[in-house]
This record gives sequence, C-alpha cells and structure tokens, in this order.
Amino acid sequence: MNFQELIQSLMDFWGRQGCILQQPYDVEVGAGTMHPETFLRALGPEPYRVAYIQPSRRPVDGRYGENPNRLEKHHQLQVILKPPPADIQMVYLESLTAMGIRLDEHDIKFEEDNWEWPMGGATGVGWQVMLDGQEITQFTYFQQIGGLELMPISGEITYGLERIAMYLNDVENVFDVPWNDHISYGEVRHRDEFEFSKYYFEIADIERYFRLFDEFEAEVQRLMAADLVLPAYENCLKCSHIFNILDARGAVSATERVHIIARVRKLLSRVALSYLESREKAGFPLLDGNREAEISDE
Amino acid sequence: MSKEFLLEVGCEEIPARSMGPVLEELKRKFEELLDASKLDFGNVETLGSARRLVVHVDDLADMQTTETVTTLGPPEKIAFKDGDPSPALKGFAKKSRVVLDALEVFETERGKYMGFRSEVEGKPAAEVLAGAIPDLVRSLTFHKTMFWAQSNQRFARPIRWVVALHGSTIVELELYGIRSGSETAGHRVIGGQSVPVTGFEDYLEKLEANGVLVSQTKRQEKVEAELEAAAKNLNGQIIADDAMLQEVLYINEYPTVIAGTFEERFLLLPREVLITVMREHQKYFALESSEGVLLANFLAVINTRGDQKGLIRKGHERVLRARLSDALFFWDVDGKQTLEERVGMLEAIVFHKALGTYKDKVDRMVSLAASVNELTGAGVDAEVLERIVRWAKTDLTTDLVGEFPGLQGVVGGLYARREGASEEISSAIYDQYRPQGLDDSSPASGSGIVLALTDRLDTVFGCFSVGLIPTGSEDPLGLRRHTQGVIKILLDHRLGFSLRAAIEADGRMAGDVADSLETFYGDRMRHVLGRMGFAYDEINAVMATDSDNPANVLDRVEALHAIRESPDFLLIAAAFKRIKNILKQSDDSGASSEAAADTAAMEPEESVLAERIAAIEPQVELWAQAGEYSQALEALAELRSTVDDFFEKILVMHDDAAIRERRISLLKRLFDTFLQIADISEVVVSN
Repeated sequence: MNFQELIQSLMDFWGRQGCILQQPYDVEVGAGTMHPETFLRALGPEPYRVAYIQPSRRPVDGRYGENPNRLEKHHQLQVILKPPPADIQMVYLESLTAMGIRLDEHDIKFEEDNWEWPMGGATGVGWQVMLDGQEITQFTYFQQIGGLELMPISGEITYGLERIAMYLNDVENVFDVPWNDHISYGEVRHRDEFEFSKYYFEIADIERYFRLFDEFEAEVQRLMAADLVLPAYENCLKCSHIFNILDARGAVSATERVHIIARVRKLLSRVALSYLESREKAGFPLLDGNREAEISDE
Repeated sequence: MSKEFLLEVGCEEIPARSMGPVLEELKRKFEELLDASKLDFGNVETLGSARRLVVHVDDLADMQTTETVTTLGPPEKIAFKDGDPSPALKGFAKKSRVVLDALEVFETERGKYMGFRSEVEGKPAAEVLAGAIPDLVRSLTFHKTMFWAQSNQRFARPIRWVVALHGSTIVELELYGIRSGSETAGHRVIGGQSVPVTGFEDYLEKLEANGVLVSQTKRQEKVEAELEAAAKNLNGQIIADDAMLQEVLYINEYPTVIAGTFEERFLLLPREVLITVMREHQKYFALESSEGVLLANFLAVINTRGDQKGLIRKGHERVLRARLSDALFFWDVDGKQTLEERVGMLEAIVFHKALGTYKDKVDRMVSLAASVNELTGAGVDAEVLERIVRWAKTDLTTDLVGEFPGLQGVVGGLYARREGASEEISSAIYDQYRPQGLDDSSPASGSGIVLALTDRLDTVFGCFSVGLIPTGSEDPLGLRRHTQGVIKILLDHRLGFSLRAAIEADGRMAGDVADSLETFYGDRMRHVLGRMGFAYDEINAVMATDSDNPANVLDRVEALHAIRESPDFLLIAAAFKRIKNILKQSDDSGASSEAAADTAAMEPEESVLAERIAAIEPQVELWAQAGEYSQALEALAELRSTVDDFFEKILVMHDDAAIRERRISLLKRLFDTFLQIADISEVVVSN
C-alpha cells in the first residue's frame, strides 16, 4: 500500500465512522493537535467527529534529507472523536485492518504514553500503539486544553503516516516510500527537506523573526480586543512556529525559552477561553438538542 | 453457606508501572472490607493484566455473620418495686418489643442492669458488596488518573465492563456507570470480546482460550522459562533486568518470547549504549556470552501466542536496526566535536533558573573541586582535576545523551576514552553519577570521588544559598538523595572530610543557611547510618559530639556499637546519664575544674576516681587522636566499679559549696573526657 493509498484508506475508514473529512490547516503547525478543528473544537460541550491530514513542521528534526528516519516536515492523520465511543480502541484496530494489516499475525501493544503541550496548556492521557515494536499511533484522551478542564473528553488518534508507510512497504529509508506506484516520497519531498533544513538551521534571519514574534503577538492582542477569536488563534500559531524556527536556529537561550513559552501559553489560554465564551453566546449550536430546534425552526 | 467470589474490573490498558502496587492494595483493601463487613472468607487473591483487575475469594459466606447483641435497660435496683416490675422496666420492654419474661440481669462495669440478648441477622453478601465495591475501586491509587466520560469519574484508564459473581450468581452492582454481569472480554486481537463465564475456574480457562493469562504468576513463569530457553538456544545468558521484566509482564496479556538478531556492525557501539537502546525504547532483553561479550541478538516479549510467519520478528528487527542506526549515527556525529569544544555549549543549557546554566555550574565546580581535593586528601593532580570538571557535563550537549538521558556521565566517559583521555579522566566522568542510591557502589578512583562529591556538593550548596531548601515531602531537586550520595561516598572510602571547611571554602552560604545545611546533612547521615544497621541511640550518642566528618562519625559509632551490649558498658552508660543530670542541675553553680586539685581532702572513693581520671585523660586524648575509639571505650567500661563505688559512698550535692563544686567538677571532667568520642549518656539502657 503506497503513501497515498494509505491516506485514502484511512480517510475513507474514518469517513464511514461519521467523521467530517477536513483539510489540513493552512498555517504552519507542529502537530495535528494545533489545527483549530482539534484545539478549539475540543473545548466546550458540543460533540464533534473529524479526520484530516496535517503536515507537521518540526524544524529541529530537520536533517537535510540525510537521515532515513527524521524529517522537518511529516504528515499526521488526526482523528477526533468527541465524546469517545466505548469501543474506540476496537474501532481504531479496525482501521489497521483497513490499511491491510492482518492483526492476528502481529504483535500489538498499548503502552502508556501521556501527552503534554505546555505552550497550549494542554495535557492528555493515553498510549502509544506499538505494532511489532514500531510506534504507529498516539492515542490520547485530552484532559485539558488552554488550561481549561474538558467535558466531554475528546479521544484523539494520531497516525504517523510516514512510519506506517515505511512499515507497510518494508523500506528502511523514508525517502524510499512509494508515494504512488510511479514516484517515491523522496522524489516528491527530498528537496523540501534539504532546503528547509538549511533555512531553519543556517539562514533564517534571527532578528527579523524575533521582531515578527513581537508583531504577531501584538496582532493577537489587537484581534482579541476586536473579539475575533479565530484570527487571533491563527496568529498564536504563527508565534509558535516562529519560536520553533528560532529554537532550531539556536537563537533561544534557556531563560528566553521559558519566557517565550509562557508568553504564547498566555495568549493561547485567553484564546481558548474566548472561543468557549463565543460558543456559549451562540448557544452551543452543535449540541444535539439545539440542532433539532434549529432545523424545526426553519 | 459459602461460595467463591469473582470480581473483574475490565479496563482499557492500565499502565504497567501501576499494576504491581495496585494489585497489592486491592488485596489488602478487599480483605479489610470483608473483615469490616463481617463476611467470613477463606482466602483473597488478586490477579491482573493490562485490561483487568481481578479479585478471587474462595469460600465467601452468603450472609454476614449473625450477631448477638445485648440491649440494656434500667438498672436492676430500679427495675422492680416490691418484687414487681417497675414502670421503668415495663416501659423498656414495651419500647424494645420484648416480653417481660425475656429480660435478664446483666453484670456490667457500672453495676447490674436489666436487658436482653437478641440475634441480629446479617445481610446477604451480595447486597453488602454491591454497596461497598464501587467505593473500594474508586479508592485505588494510581500514578495518574483521568476523566473519560463523566466529570465525577476518575480512574487510571476507562472502565469498560465489570464481572461480579458469587458462586454462579451475578452480584448486581454499578461501577462508574457500568452494570456488572457475567461476560468478560478476551485478548484484543486473538480473543472474543464477549465471553460468558460461570465461575472462577471457568473464567481462567475461558480467558486462556481467548488469549489472556490472567495470573501474573503464570505469565511470569511462562516468560522466565521462555527467556531461559531462548538464551540457551543462542548460547547466551540474559542480562537480567527485573524492572523491565515486571513491566513486560503487565503490558502483555499473553506474553511470548521471540528471539531476533541485529547486524554485527552495530557491535562497534559500546555495550552500555547497545543495552540502553534495546531496553529504553524497545524493552528487549540483551544477551551476553559466558565470557561477558554482548551478542548480536535480543529477546522480545510479544503480546500474542506466537509468530508463525516470522512477521513479528522481522518487524522488531527492523525497528531495532533503525534505532541502532540512529545511535551509531549519533555516536559518529558526536565524535566530530571534542569535549573541550563542547564546554562553551554548556552556556545554552539551564541547570536551574536561580543557579544559571551548566556553564555557570561547571565554573563553580572548578574551584569547589580544588577544595574537595584538598579536604579529602585525594591528591588528584590539579590540572587533571580541572580538565575532568570542565568536561564532566559536556555530554549533555551530545545527541546520544539527548536521545538517552539515562546515559549521561557514561557517554561523557566513553567519549573521553575515545578521544584518548587517560583512564583517570574518563572513568571519573563515567562514574560521576554513582552511587545511584544507597545500594549502589561509589566511584573507585580518587578523581572519580572528587568529581562525584563536587557535583553533588555544588548542587546542594547552590540550592541552599538561594533558598531552595527541601521541606516535608517537597524535594524537587533531590537534595536529600544528593546529600546521601556525598555521605555514602565518604563512608565507602572512609574519607575524612569536613563539611564546615567545605562550606567555608565555598563561601556562598551565610551563617544561618550554613547552620540549616549542617542540620540537614546530619539528618541524612542519621538515615544512612540507620540503613547500615546502627541503632538510633548509638547514632545520637556519637553525633552529639560532632557530625561534621561522616567517616569519623562512622569510626566512632562502630566502636560504640561493638561495646554497647557489654554489661560493664551498659552500667557506665547508666551512670553517665546520672552524671549528665547532675551537670544539668548544677549548670549555674559555677563548678570549675580548677577546684579539683586537692586529693588530700577527698573521701577514698572520690580520690580513687580522681586518680583514675587523671591517669586516663591523656590516654583517651591520644586514643581519640589516633582514632582508637574502641580502646578508649573499653577503658571507660573498666571504670565501671570505680564509678559505682563513688556513687554508692559519695554525696555529690554536699551542703558545703566547696565540696559540692569539687565533686561536680570531677564528674564533669569524666564526662568531658569521653565527650570527644560520644555523649555516652545518650545510649539507651533498657531494664
């Protein structure tokens, strides 16, 4: 199963589970969790089911395309089930079957792995799913986001697509993964890895990015004052990515690091709270009872 | 009547680290519950695997024990009037709904009372347990708990089903919103997800058929047997790792051992790194030959019955190859910068926000190490020592330690060796974090000792000087552990070392902070000596004298420990307690040792004692200086009869102030003579 077939089969599977099939967020993020379809939708009482691919940028993991296992940008397939069904793990295992794995021929384990994103004031409890010793999925029950307690809880399933594709295609170098039957992952993405590694590690203009950080932070403040939560969130993500670039560039001293994380966390906590308030003001439109009322009103 | 009882709390995978302790807690609490509920039972056992916590009770009574209750009414003397029941007695009988004839006299502590006995029938076990089990389960302790469905429900992981059977009858109860039943779930992949069971035997059999070995003991036997067989097959021996064994036992509901290999080229990596790569990320057991050479094989514990097509083995080998390639890559890349070149990079790593970066720490350590070297008399060459200290933390900047933080120190030592540094330098860096706890051994070489001491002392001094002082259970920086490490190293090597002198040389701590550190240090020393088997009163006695130098404290406490049970010594210790009391009472009387001169005026017992003291004083002084504490204490024990005679015949608190003072000062001389070894009065003399 090549890379795009893997994506298709998983998206198809989760579509059949009642998930909205969303698109990647078009802003640089480090993980699928930062997509507003997760970070914001997990807040408040409204149920939600969504699946999407999220290209995820981790500048410090860049290796100029020379390391067979590490990338500055990889792809996550993110599923949110809010609230999680009681058989969520079994449904997840079925998704492995959907990608062509015969479960009874393999060693599958759920090993404790709790998740934390300090910048987002976010924590979760869960496992890494191991397939024959390879971590293929992060499985998390969110407990807090933006410092806020959550209820209902969201179940998050995050597939590391490159790793799974390497496994399914029995290749030892990510660049050898077949993207489709004609072209390899390396042919599609190798230049990307090289150029961005060089950019993040050597070229990115440190002063300019520090300035940009301040600018985007100020923009968040302005947008919050204007009651525009979603654009404010997007600008928080800009801050987060800029921090990651500066970090890869080796420009963030240890004390600054703590300071910057605290600054972004403060912004994200405010945004999370405002988002929740805006949904409340709107009457939590996606709550089951409220939706029926809306439809019958029309 | 009694029947067996089975409770299974079915969960999503509970973290392995919690399972062992929680099964013990569950057993204890269940026994307590049955006792408190007056339910007779045979034996309680708890079993469990990743997805289930199980209680099995054989012979659990159907009903609570019937209790005989005595109800008392009025005292006998007001119960009858002229032989007839009084209104008080009649009223009591009526209220209690018993006939008058049924009332008897009961003797109590307060006199005779009228009353009656009745039997209170117990409730059915099922009813009692249905009420109590949910609270019991909720009270279990885990490292971390979570919400999953409702905001008032926390547990280690979501609970998905509950089996509760007394005999073959379902005990109706509700746990976190789940109703109990008689259906369990098998292994996620090789078992059915809805398996009806009729009792404990049936439960064990059905689960085994559905890919679950519920009994941890059974899983352990299976894994140990298979590990051994596999190792034998490869002509190797397992490098034992009990913590990892326990972990894999609880991760896998049906553990099976498989063997895999990796390419010989990876054997270029040091053994420590190979073992860590296999253990930390993959939980594989490493193997070595009978000569102690690491083999290019590993043993993995998988969560299924077997690996018929070899797909699992292939998968695990693949993952390990990638991990080892990473490690080899790090090993090579790290080698492109020398440790010396890495010294400056320590500026980027914060040690603690109040104490600066690792660069700052190392700069402080350079001067502290020089004093430690001098104070311990370790005699490490000054230049070599400075190099060791400057390089000690540089491995924190390497990719290999970034990947395997548990290898810090070890990696620095290996890299130093690879760069061609002397054994003195590389082994000091390698061993700097030892001892890891009181059961581990200390660094062996002088340079290793100085580095290990300096690193910990710097951390402790630094934290105390900025007010980061452990309180109660709060000790986030592990200062207790670090301090115990210092003491253990000094004791292991019997190295003389003055904390006070080190504090002074360091110069960071103000007087009151230094005092609180000395108290803290003393407490840790008590703990370490206690763990070594010395009694608390022995420790108190020697530490009352001085606790600045642990090795010296150890010498003295050993001497005291050896003699303390001898009859003469115990009697002398009792006498010293008396002396101490006298000295305490006469604190203000101005007794001075000058008054002690005139033996002619003394009573015989007094003058004998004075002569013995005069003779022994300089000797004890010499023995104490030479560390011959046993000699001194034996000499003390020999004074027993002289001291006894003195107390028998001599009145210390004489009316004549001059005589009184003379006698008190004599006792003070005796007491003080031995105070340079221990405060003998602290030794507890039991009757």
